[in-house]
Order: sequence, then C-alpha cells, then structure tokens
Amino acid sequence: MFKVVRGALRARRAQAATVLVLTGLAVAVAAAAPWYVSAAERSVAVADVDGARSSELVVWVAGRVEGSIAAGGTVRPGAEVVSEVEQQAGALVDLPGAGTTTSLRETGSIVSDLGKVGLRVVYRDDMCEHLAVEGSCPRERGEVLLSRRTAQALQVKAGDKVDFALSSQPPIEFTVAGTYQLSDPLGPYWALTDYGGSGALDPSGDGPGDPAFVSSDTIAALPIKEILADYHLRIPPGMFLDDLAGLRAALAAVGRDNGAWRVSTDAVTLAGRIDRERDLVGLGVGLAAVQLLVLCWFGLFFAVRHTAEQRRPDIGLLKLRGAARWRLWHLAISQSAVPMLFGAALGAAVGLGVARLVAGDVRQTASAAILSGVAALAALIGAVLAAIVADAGGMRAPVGDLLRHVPSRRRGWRAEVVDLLIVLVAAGGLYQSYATSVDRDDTTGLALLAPALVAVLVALAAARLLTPLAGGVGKRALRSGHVPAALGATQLARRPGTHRVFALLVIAVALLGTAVGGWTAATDGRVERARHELGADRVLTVQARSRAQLVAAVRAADPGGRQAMAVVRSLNGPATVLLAVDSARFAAVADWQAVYGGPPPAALADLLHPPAPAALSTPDGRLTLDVEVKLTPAPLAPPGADDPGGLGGGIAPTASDPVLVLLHLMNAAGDQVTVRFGPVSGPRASYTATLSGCDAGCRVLGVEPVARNFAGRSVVPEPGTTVTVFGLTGAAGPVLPPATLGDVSRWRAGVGADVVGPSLATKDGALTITAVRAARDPDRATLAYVVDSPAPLPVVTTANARTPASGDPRLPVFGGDRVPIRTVGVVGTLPTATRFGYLMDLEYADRIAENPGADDVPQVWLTADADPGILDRLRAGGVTVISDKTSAALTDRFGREAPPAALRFQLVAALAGLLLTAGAFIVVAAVERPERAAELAALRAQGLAPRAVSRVAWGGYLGLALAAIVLGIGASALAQAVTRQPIPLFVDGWNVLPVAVGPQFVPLGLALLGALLVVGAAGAAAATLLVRAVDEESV
Amino acid sequence: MSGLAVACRRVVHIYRAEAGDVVALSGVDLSIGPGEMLALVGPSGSGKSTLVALLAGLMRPSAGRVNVGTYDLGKLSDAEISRLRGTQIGVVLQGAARNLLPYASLERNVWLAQRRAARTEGIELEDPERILDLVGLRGKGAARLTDLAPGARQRAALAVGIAASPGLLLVDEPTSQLDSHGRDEVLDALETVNAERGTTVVVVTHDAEVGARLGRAVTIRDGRVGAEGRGGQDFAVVAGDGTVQLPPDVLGHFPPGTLFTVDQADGTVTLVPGGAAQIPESHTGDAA
Repeated sequence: MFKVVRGALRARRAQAATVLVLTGLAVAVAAAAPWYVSAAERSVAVADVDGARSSELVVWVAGRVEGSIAAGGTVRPGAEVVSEVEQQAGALVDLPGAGTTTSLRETGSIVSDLGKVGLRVVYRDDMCEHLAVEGSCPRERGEVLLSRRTAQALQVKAGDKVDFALSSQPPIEFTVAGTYQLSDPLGPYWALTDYGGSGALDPSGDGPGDPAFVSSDTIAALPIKEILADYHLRIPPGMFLDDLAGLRAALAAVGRDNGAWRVSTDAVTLAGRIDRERDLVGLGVGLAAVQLLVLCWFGLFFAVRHTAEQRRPDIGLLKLRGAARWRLWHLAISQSAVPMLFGAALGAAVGLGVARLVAGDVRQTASAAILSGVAALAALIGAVLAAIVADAGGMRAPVGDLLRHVPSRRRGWRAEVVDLLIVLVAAGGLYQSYATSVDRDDTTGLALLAPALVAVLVALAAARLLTPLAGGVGKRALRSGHVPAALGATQLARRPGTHRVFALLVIAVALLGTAVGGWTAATDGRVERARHELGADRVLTVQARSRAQLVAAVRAADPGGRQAMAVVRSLNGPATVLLAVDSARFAAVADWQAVYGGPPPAALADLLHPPAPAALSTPDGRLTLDVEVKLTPAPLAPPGADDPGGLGGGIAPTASDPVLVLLHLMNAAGDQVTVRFGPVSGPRASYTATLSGCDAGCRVLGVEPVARNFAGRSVVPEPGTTVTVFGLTGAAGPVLPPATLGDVSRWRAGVGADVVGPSLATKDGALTITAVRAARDPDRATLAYVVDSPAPLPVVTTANARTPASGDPRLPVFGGDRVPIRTVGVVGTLPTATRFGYLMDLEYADRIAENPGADDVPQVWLTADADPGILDRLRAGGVTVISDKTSAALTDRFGREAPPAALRFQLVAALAGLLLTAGAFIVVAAVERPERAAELAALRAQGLAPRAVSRVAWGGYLGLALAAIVLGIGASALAQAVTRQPIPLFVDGWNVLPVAVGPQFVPLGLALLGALLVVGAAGAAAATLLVRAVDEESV
Repeated sequence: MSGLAVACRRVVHIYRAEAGDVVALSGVDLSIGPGEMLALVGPSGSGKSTLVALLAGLMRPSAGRVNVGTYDLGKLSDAEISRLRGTQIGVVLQGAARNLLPYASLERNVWLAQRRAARTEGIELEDPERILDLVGLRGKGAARLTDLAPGARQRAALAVGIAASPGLLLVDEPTSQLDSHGRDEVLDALETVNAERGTTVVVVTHDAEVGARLGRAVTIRDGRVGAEGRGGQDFAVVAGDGTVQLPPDVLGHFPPGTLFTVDQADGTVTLVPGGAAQIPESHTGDAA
C-alpha cells in the first residue's frame, strides 16, 4: 500500500507540495507562538525594567529608632544606630541579592550670618560616593556637607561655622566640611528618597532645601527623642524577569501595619505593568496564532477537498473492488497526511528558528520547546482533521457517483447550516466586542477578535452574493454578445467551491489590512510619544550651578540659537508639567507637533517673552550708597506717596536696632552676591562697600534693609523702619540712577503669596522702603526688587489647565514658592506634558522665582542636526551631563514593549495567512485546470478566438483575486471604522496625544499593495497556466 | 471459484431526475447459467449498462429481483454487496483507464483488487503475475497503464476484474475503440478465463460480432429483453408477462396502433393485420 501511496504522491506532486507548504505554515505559526510569547515575555520585562523609574526598583522602609534624649537613652555611636535600623527594617522585607542603604535624618534649619535655610541633616551609607564633593566628606561629629546651592544661599564655604537649629533646643554649631552636588541624581541610589534630584516622593518632606549631609555619629548625638530612619533596598532586576511571584511575596509587608515601620515601593506598579505586558503579549500573539491556524485549517480543508476531487475515482475503484473502509481512508488520507507530516516537521523547525531569530532565546528552553511542540502537534492534528473532513464526503458517496467523471454539484443543507452558524457566531461576537469596548482599558479576546469577525461577516456575505451575481452578469453578457465576459462570469458562477476560496481570500486580505493598520498606528504612536515625551530630538539632563548658568552655557555652546536650548522642567503634582524654556530658541529647537494646536511656536515665544526693562548691573569695585533711615509709626498698609508716615493708627517705635542695607546681586554664574552697607542710621548720608565676585558685572536683584537680632543674624527690621535710597554709585558711574529710583514701576515687593511688605514709594528720584506690620511676623519682608521681568509671569497653558477658584493664578515655579502668572496663550497640549502643562520663559521665570525649590530638572534640548561639539562646549561651560536621551532611542524602547511584540507577530501571521490562502487559491485553480482547459479548448476548436480564451482565463482568476482584494480592504476599513484599536498602543494606557480613528488610508494602501502582490500574483499565475493548458490541449 | 448463475425477474429500474423520471429497465427477465458466456447487445440507451450495474450491485432495482448465485441482491446490505463485489463479482468498467490506478503498477493494481478476497476464508487467490499471464500480459507486472497499447490496457483492466477469481465477470464494452487485433486479444482472454475458471462472463457490447463469438447474445431494447441470438440464429423472447418484441425490421412495417389478429395452427402463430385496405398484403408476417 505504501508503494501505491508513494505513486499517488508522485503523480500529484503539485498538490502534495501545496498541502506540505500550507501545513508547514500552520505548524510554523503554532510552533513559533509559544516560543515567541516566552521570549517576548522576557524581553518586554527587560524593556520594562530598563524603562522603569528608579522608585520602581527600590523598596523603602521608613521608621524611627531611639534618639539620644529618649527616656533612658544615651548618645550612642552612629554605627550602632545604623545597625539597629538594618536589623529592624531588614526583618520586614527579605529580598535575596538586594543592595541596601540606611539613612538617618532630622529636620531643622541651618543658619549663617547672612541667611537661614530649612533643611534636613542626613546620614546615608556611602553618600560621598554619590556626591561630587568640593572640600571633604563629613566624617567627624559636627561636620556638615552643604549643597552648593545651600552654601551659596547662606554664603558660607568650607571651614565656616553655621548653626543647626532644632525647635526647642539651643543651636548646635556645625563646621562646613565642604559643598556637594549629586553626581547621579536620577540613579537608583537616590530613588525613593527626598534627598536626591529624582523628585521628592515623601509627602511629609518639609522645606524645599537640599539636604545637608553629616556623619552617623552627628545624627546619633543630636538632642532628639527619635531618629527618623530610612532603609532602602534595591531590587535585583532578575526578580522582575524571572520571579515576580517571589517578589510579590517578599513585598507582602507593603501597606501592612508594621508598627513603627512603614514599607512603600513602586515595584508593585512595575510588577503589575510587567504582568499586563505579558498578558497582552500572550493574548495578542495567541489570538493572531489562533486566527491564522483557523485560516490555515480552512485553507487546508479547501485545498484537500479540491485535491479530493481527483481522488474520487480512486476511491470509487477501491469501493468497486469491495475494499475495506480502512483501506479507502488509508489511500485518501495518506495522500494528505504524508505531506502534512513532512510539512509539520519542516514548519516546526522553521517556526522555532524564526521565533528564535526574531524574539531571541528563552530562559526555560525545555518548557518553551515542549509548549511549542504541543502547539505544533495541535496544529498538525487540526490539519489532519480538516483533511479527514474534506475527504469524508468522498467516502460517503456511492460508487456510481465516485466513478462518474463529473461530481455532483448539489449543495447540501449542512453547508448552509455551517454558514448560518458562522454568521451568527461572528455577529454575536462582534456585538459583544462592541459592547465591551466601552471600557477603554478592556483588552479582552473579543475586542481583539472584532476585526476578524467583521472580515468573516463581509466575506461570507460577499461570497454568498458572488455566485448569483456572476450568474447574472454572465447572462447579461451573453445577451449583449460579450462572449469572453459571459464565459468568465458563468464559469465563476458554476465552479464548485469558488465562493469559499473567495471568502477565504477576503478574510486573509482583511486581516492583513487590520494587522498593517495596527502596526503602522503603533509605529506612528511610538514615534509621536517619544517626540512628545522628550520635547526635542535629543534631550540632555544636566546639572548646572544655577539656571542662569545653564542659560548662559547653552547660549555660549550654540551662539546661533538654532540647535540647543536651555530648559528647566518641573512638576506641580503628578499631572502638571512646568516647562521653562529659553523662549527665543523654542521655535527652532523644540519638537513642536501640529497636534498641539494653538499659535505657532514662534508666536508662543513672543508671547512668553514680552519686552521688559533692562536689567541693572555693576562690575566689581567700590560702591557708594546714598541713604537715609527714619523710624516712623508702623503702617498697617502700604502708604501713599504723600503719606510717608502711613495711614493713621500706626504705633511709634519703642526701640531702634541697627539697620543694615543689603544690596542683592547675581553674578553671571547665577550665584547670589550680597553687599552690606552700614549700619546705617539717621539722616541722608553716603555709605561705601566693596563688591567682589562679579567680575565684569552682576545683575542687581534688589535692595533690602535688615536689622540684626540678638545672635547677630539678619532679620526684618521693626515695622516702621523707613529707608530712602537716593542713589547707588559704582566705579563706572551710577548703578541705581535717579530715573530708576524715582520710577515706581521699576520696583516691586516680593511676589510670594504670603509676603507682606515692604511699602515702596518713589519721589524725586529716590526710593523709600518701609517695613510694615503683618499678622504673622515671618511673612514680613523688606526686600525691594528691581523690575527687570514681567510680573505676573506670562505663561502658555494647556487648554485643560485649571484656574484657581479664588485669588490670582499662581504656580510653584521650579518647585518653590508660588509666583503669580498670567495666561497669554492656550494650546492643546505641550511637549512633555501629561495632563496639564505650563510653558514659560526660563529667564523671566528665574528672575521672578523666589526661594525656588530643588525639584527642577535642568535640561538641554538639542535638534537632530545639533553640532556634536555642543556637548564639549556645554561641559566647558560648567554643565555636567547626567543623562542623554534621543527620541529614536526612546522610540526603540517603546518598540520593545508588549504591544509591538504582539503586533509584530500579528503582521507576520497575517502575511502568512495571505500566502496560505493564495496557496489554496492556486490549488483550486490547479485542480480544476484540466477540466476547464478541455472546455475552453473545445470552444476554441469551435471558433472561439485565442484572445477571448485569454480574457476568459484572466477575467475568471485575476478578476476573482481583485474582487477579493477590494472587498478585503473594504472589510478592513469597515473594521477600523466600527471597532477601536484592538491592541492598545501602549500598555500603560498612555493617551496624551489623540490617536487617529477610523479608516487609515496609508496602512490600507500598504495592505492593498501586499495583497496585490501575493493574491494578484496567484490569480495571474492561475490565469497564465490555464491559457497555456488550453494552448497545449488545442494542439 | 466456479461460475455463478444469474437470474433477473421482471426487473424494473427508474432513474429519478429533476426533469422527470426515466424508465431504464421495464421488466427484464433473464437467466444466465453458471459458466455461461453472454453478450448484452442493443442500441445506446437501451438499458444494457443499467442492467450490468444492477448485476454488479452498484444500483438497486426499482422493482423485480436480481439473483447472483444464491444471493438476492435486492436484499443484501451495502456492506454485503461490497463484500460480494470484492470476492464473487468482478466488474470491468467501460474504458480501461477507469479500472486501474494510473500511478500504480499492474501488479499492484491486481494485488489491490485481491485484498477483500484475501481476507475471506475459502478463497484461494492466484499470484498477480499468474493472473496477468492469464490475460496475456506476462512480464508486464511492473508496467503502468500508460506504458501499454490499447488492447493490452483493456486486458490489464480484465486482469483487475478477475483478480479475486470471481464467479461472475461483468465487462462493459471491452472492445470499443480497439482494432480487430486488439478485439481478438481481449476476446481470447475472456474465453481463456471462462474456459480455465468456469467464470460466468457477461459482456456489454455494441459489436454484433462479439455477441456472435460469445455464443449467446441477448438484445436489450427499450428496457426489455428484445431478442436473443444463439448459435447464429436469432430468436424473439417471450417475457415473463407474456409479451414478445417483434424484430425491428418487421416492426418497421407496422406503425404504432396497427391491429392484428393472431392465428395459431400447427404450432405456427400468424399475425394478421386488422384490415386488408389498411395493410398491404406484402406486409403480413409470421412470428414464432
């Protein structure tokens, strides 16, 4: 029998080869899917961990241990305190292989002669390894390391003495050991702390000041009852990749009552995201594989059924000889099963190979291989079952029918019922998917299946209409004398199984359209998101001495102003982005997308940067201040120009402390420089002081009368203290000319929401500053600012930005005090914004911001064509680059997430499906070719022109192919119109930018091109071969 | 296996079709003795092939009884008929190519046709080579159908038909499209089979010479047994319902509706047309 089967396979090698290829395709997809899912699950997890925020890779355990003045407490060595924290906190979370860091902290204020900054003193393991220290690392008790910013604000340097003030305790004297800047503020070491630059996540963190670092002994010796302690564990990335369950178990303490200790982490969020990504990959790939498998099985069914036509006489012959049933099946099924087995072996090898090539290796090779094997076997069994069903008709047929040359064309009721069932199931599924799609986050199988269901409905309806339509066209063509058209249409109508292959082609083309649509939408989405999230083609996160230095360094690095822009990005809550930009460069450098709407970027820059009075500046040298001090009854409200004594009701001062006049300036590096005049007292007189640290010039910030308290520190003078400035002259001439001093519009008080005073008045070229009374003494201020920027600050907002229910709109610019703002433009959204966004001019914002916070992220935005030398010039300008991102790299990272992985597989599966149905089409044509060739040859013998034969052949096959392509693309467009994007573009549900909805013409065009290439080629091949067969028959 | 007797009694077969029913056989009575050779002749559409299909069990009669050996085919199940075809009734279809798998060798084709009989007790099968030898195809076991000349192809089909040593061999048009040499080869083979095995042979043919050579030729006309030729002499046949068909050449003289009186004297039956003015003298005839 084997020889007989071998002979049959040899004789029908084309059909056998087609069945082999089709099965190979089905098994390849089935075998590839589990391996691909396994590999993709790991690679998306790797991408997730790569792209995770530092806080997601760290567990934070916060609590308290006994301080030196606790009941029965003593001053212990710092190491002992640290060890106690490690024991208590470490017992709560057990993460094998995790790196740990212990911190101790206490909140207070550091006070110098010239200032006071609220901050925390902090000890942290290995802190100096993560700090760029100028001076030395604090090792001894009483040594303190201040941030460069704090030291600058306090105007102290290494070796100076400062006081650390704790409430209800006498000040403790510290020695400044040096200054620092964070060397890796975005790194995991600083994650989930409010010490670093990655954002203060501790809601209880008080004061915007940078931490001051001390040794553990210093903290242990502080006169406090409890020492606040933090214990950070850095989770090994391997746990996210291979042991999510173990990680979850280890994090069971999160959110639980652990007594004095609180465990928090964002790792659970990351774990959830990885789970969602894995689910999405599994679902997306699984559904694509199942769709293709079903398509393959149907394709195989039709291919086998058509080749079964050729086996009918064989079966009839065996039946005639009374052959046993099993022998009939053996002969019939072997002719399909043998090529299927070979195809399966080949397909499994190819599928695994391609999956490995595309998705990479998997960790658990054995289990992935077993799963792939099982899937491949299932695909093979499905294929064999399809073949059995296809051959079953022949087995049931009577011998007489089987031996007849022309098979019965009668259509059984079973086929009608199957069609009806498929339509009902598809319609039900489509409705269900439509109903569930209301929930945008719902990524169920049904939503993913919706396009396929639409395709099935369209295909079956079209296939049903095909036969009567072709028949009608044939009749009409015959009546009007168009013989080729009549013959082509009539044969189309009468060919058995044509409508099923047609339906299959429509479905395959529609699935390709959907897959290409999903793929291009996701690709575009990733590019747009990357562009949006970065804001420019390349973004450097940097450290600079100050915002002014950042601006200056960037301008120096790119004097043309077309390639680089200084940006400071900060957040106001999780959903609001504040973007301060060097607005003159905004239009040239920012990656402004049309979808943002609003005025063009160049117009925005003008709105953000209206003209303002020029800044006043002075170089180093001797300064002379012409000033008068008076003590008047303290005004309750700012007095008018004619009422320097204020409105009635003031009270006379009882004592007068010595008054100093401070001149605040800022040098080119952004460092604040203060010059002290006085003590000043009594009538108008000139006082001199020497300015240094300004080199070519410092910008004048303002003038501030202060008094001295008992400890010799600067404080706001008594209410009613009035200082009139008549002039300030430097070596180069007047620094504050009378025109400026006498123009009240050039002076303003502080813009802080709670700031009270000073009262400012100008008269006859002189500025009068009067300290006022306030309900809360700390709110009083006497600093008179020079106006050299607009106030309120002009901002451009996103359309959804909220306006305050009462009072002036304000923003905590750079994370510090809230400054008044004025909306000058509205756009849809802004680069890097998530929900709400504000855009402002960096220079103006920097000038108006008082007590700016530490939560800002200085950046340099670069264009794609930026000169590579810019980085060196930035470094030369004192800017340190701590991260470098490009939108291409970010796009690439998004490309490694789950949706692209699933979409990639869908695309491959759709292409495979198209090839498969084209193969089935070719088989159908090949099987019916001899018969059709004989018919056409007979017609040719009767006088039908050869050209007419060609037209019949081409019209029949290529026409069918083109009709299927058009309908398939139409079904895909319909699916895009009535269903939403089946696979979300991003697994985190990012939807800041609007996604194009409805039929997308470019992807549909691409799918059309692909379908034309594959199905069109199959149709053309079938037509050519038929014409050739007719020629041979006619010879 | 020795030859099987065949008996058809008032066999009627009607083809059901959408355009209307077609009566193919309308009361066939026929008896064939075991080991007899018989030709079924008649014009196209007369019902010859239908009768053979009924004898082969490929169709069931609409009415009447068909017996092959001891079996009443109308009462057998499909499986029993199938088994009968595999062991006792050999069928050779019209057109040699329809009887063989084109991709298998002659030896394999014969071997396949023996499979049912091989599983049945009491049947001794001959070697395929021997069977091919019997039909004059010695040494051609490895050949395929396309390798053979037309006459040899038909004998190859015959070899498949007799592969299981059937008691009844039904052969449809074995000599059509063959030259006289090929025809003789085929008929020789049939006679050899009949002579060596005693197989009852029924041959459907258009060729009167084939009928003459087989010794007994039954003419089927309009779905009935119209006449029978034996030993070179033609006979009309009285059917089971008492009807007798006149020979066509006689019938041509009498249009439908012609009335006869039937006279019987001295063992001779005379048919006398009803009116002398209506029927010319010369048109009177006898039927025996």
